[in-house]
Amino acid sequence: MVPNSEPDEDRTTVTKYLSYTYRDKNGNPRVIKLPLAHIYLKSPITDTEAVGLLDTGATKTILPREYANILSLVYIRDEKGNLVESEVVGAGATFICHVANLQRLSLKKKAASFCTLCNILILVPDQEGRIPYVILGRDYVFNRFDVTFHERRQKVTFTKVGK
Amino acid sequence: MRFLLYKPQGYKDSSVAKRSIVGLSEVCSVATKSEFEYIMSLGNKLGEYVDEWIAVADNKIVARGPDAKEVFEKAKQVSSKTPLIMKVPADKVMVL
Repeated sequence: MVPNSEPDEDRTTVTKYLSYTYRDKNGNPRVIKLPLAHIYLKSPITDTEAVGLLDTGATKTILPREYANILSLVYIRDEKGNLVESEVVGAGATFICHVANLQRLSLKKKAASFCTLCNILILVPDQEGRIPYVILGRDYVFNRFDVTFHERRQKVTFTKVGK
Repeated sequence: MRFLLYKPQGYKDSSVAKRSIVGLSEVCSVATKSEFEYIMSLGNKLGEYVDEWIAVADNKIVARGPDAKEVFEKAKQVSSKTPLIMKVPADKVMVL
């Protein structure tokens, strides 16, 4: 399903990995290099900016419960009034997600959006702390862009898919 | 952002004027830096916030803590801008 979207400005957009080092409790150096994208989230109640991991291994987009609570998202219910659930299976962990409607999700570079998705269905874990950041799966962003990871250069190229 | 360099007649050394223009350009770029660009510019300093939720608004970290919603509410009190809320990732193996 191609979600409602707004026109994009550029055909190709390049973003950088988030990268930093720190020392853990034992004083050992730790290195973080993650393809995190700058995103904007909006609900009818409020809005916030966040970071999302571009994850080719995820079939769906998942929003941490913490963001859903900030945005006061409303969860989808079935005809009996029960929350619609989806089981998410990862390596070594399985957890339940609920389905919510997100009014707007935009990918940003600098101050401008280069991809905007409107009224999309996303998964939200049933508990906080399940995932540390938004998981941008293959259901939306990867359908609109060819996404190339330049691991050594720590960059990601989004190339808009022609219609 | 581009600036035209105006060199008045008789003004031989334009290096001072150039420096001023570069300075102005830097000021403008800082002013228009997005919250995420600010996060990216922190480099290893971001490591001080590992495993914590932080809120960035107006090019500074305006709130931090273990509770995302509290951090968001605090940021909204401090700034009228939409804050960037994120949990600073620790070095954990993530396989989803």
